[in-house]
Amino acid sequence: MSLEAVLQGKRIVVCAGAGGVGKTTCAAAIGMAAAGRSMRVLVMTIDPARRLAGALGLPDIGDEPHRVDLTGRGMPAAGRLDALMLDAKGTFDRLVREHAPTTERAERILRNPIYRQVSGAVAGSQEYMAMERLWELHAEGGYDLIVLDTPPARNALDFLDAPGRVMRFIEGRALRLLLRPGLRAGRLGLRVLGSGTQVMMSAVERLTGLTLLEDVSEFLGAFDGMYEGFRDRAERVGELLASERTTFVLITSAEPEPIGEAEAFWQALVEHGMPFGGAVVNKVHPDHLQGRGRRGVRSRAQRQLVDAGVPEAVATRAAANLDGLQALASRDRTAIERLERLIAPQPLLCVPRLDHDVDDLDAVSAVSRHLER
Amino acid sequence: MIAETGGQERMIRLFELAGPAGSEPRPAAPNLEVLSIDPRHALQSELQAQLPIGGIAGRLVDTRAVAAVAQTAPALRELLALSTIRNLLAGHHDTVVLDAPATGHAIGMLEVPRTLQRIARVGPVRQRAESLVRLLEDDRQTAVVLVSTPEDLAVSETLDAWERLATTHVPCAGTIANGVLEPLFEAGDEAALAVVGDGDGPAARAAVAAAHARMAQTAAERELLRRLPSPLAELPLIQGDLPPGRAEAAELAGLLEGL
Repeated sequence: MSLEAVLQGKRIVVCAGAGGVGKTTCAAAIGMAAAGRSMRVLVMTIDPARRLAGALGLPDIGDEPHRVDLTGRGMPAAGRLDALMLDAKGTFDRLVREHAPTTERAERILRNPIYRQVSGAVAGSQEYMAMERLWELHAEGGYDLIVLDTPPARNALDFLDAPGRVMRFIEGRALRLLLRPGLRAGRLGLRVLGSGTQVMMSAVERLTGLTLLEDVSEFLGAFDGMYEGFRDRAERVGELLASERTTFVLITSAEPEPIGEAEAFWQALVEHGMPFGGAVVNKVHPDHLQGRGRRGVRSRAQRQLVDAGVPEAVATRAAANLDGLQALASRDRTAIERLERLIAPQPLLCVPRLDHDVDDLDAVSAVSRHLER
Repeated sequence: MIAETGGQERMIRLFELAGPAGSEPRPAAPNLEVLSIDPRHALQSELQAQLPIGGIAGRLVDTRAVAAVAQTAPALRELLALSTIRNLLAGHHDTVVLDAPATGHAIGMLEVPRTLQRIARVGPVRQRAESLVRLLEDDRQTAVVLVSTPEDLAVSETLDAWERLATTHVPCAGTIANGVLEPLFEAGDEAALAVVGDGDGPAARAAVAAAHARMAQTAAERELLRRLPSPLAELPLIQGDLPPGRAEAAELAGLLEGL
């Protein structure tokens, strides 16, 4: 019912949240639930640890969509689930080839050490490339729904600002400042900065043994004139993410720290006017007392177990265990209720901690069934 | 000294240190300091040491331009972090515990000195890279400890990291499993609990269900932990209502001491 409300009319679901909460498994489960509604679904992950591959039982997964085998899982014939693991560098390279005026220019960029650093590791390039690939696949139109599993982030801004950060870098205003010390000779401050900067740059070069100035100037020269194309593209991606075809879903566990991060994430989404669909709280401790109070449960359980014929020592252990687990369940419930009040009227879906913690397709399927409840 | 990279300042929060965040070492306990290594700050110190013009370096490093270089110069961040650690050891610190970034990045960082050694044949870079390689690859001075939790993904990542570390020359001491459920039930408990039926009290039935959940999770964890190579220690799950703090760190330290 609630998942229905989250998916209604959407083409893109962005799963966001802290690390270690089972985000990839939940993203795959949302995908599986959508495939169960006869949709053609793609789940995209950015995580370099090949998590989706593990969760979906795929031995090898490339930058291209890969069909997930759902035989025997009661899927409707029209339902389809594909998975893809993003190759951020590959996507960036493709983008450069596409935008470069000549093959020669593209090759010059691809060889440049600064470019290689930016496309591989600069904060934000993975997120940016995820959005690019998302846009490509969305534009190709082969899917009814694309579920994007984002890398773990402490705050939503890391994800939402990623294209901006990379664009600012490519535009190179900061780097250009380094290269043209005498550009505004009339302003003393800049000139001092310029000459000092050159001294500093050569110190950095001594430090690393790299020909930094040369690389930077080649990098900027090679990108000259391509910036506009990149910016237009980034703007279209930004519009798509903010549109009503997209929805952000927060994935969290009920632990205090991820819940706190989820609340901050929600705040940032709202402030940025991003479309928010709801939250999934994963790994919730089950309430074995089904809502009955926890007060005195330890001695009550102890007494009832002994009455039933369980030896005293075993009863003591079982009662202590029940009390401990119920403490966790009640802590979870408090956190969940708080988050639920915060995000209302958007739905909050709970997935219990599953008995066996093996992230295979069965686990994805089990989570998917809980999302449908 | 406990040093962390990436500017997340988890240690500052864990040790409940008041005051503004920053990249100065901070006393956290007797004989223990914490430091969040900020590449910009490290670059600034390096430049101040290298440049004759002293004060000007400070002002320069504040500019966006230099921040961009610190972000971009290949391997500069990693080199600066490792150099900071080496300097701490050359100073008055006996041991530096590095809370490294996530596994993939951490190993990349450890590979930087060797890469630079290959690139730079002579000069100060070569010397620096060589001294870092000597430090990192000496098993009397350096040990990598991989930390995992008893979860499928964490164990798989630890195994990947273990294999990748083996291709570097940096010595790996082994793995620690953290957050492990302590064994509570004994053999035969399951059979003893089987006498409880539908006619018994609700708390008794809930206790049986909870016992089964605990047994299943313990068994699953044991299965996963068997996959961890060279286990050094298992640390129990400590559950509190707050994020991990000083008390939890102290408790785990006591347990490690006893091993």
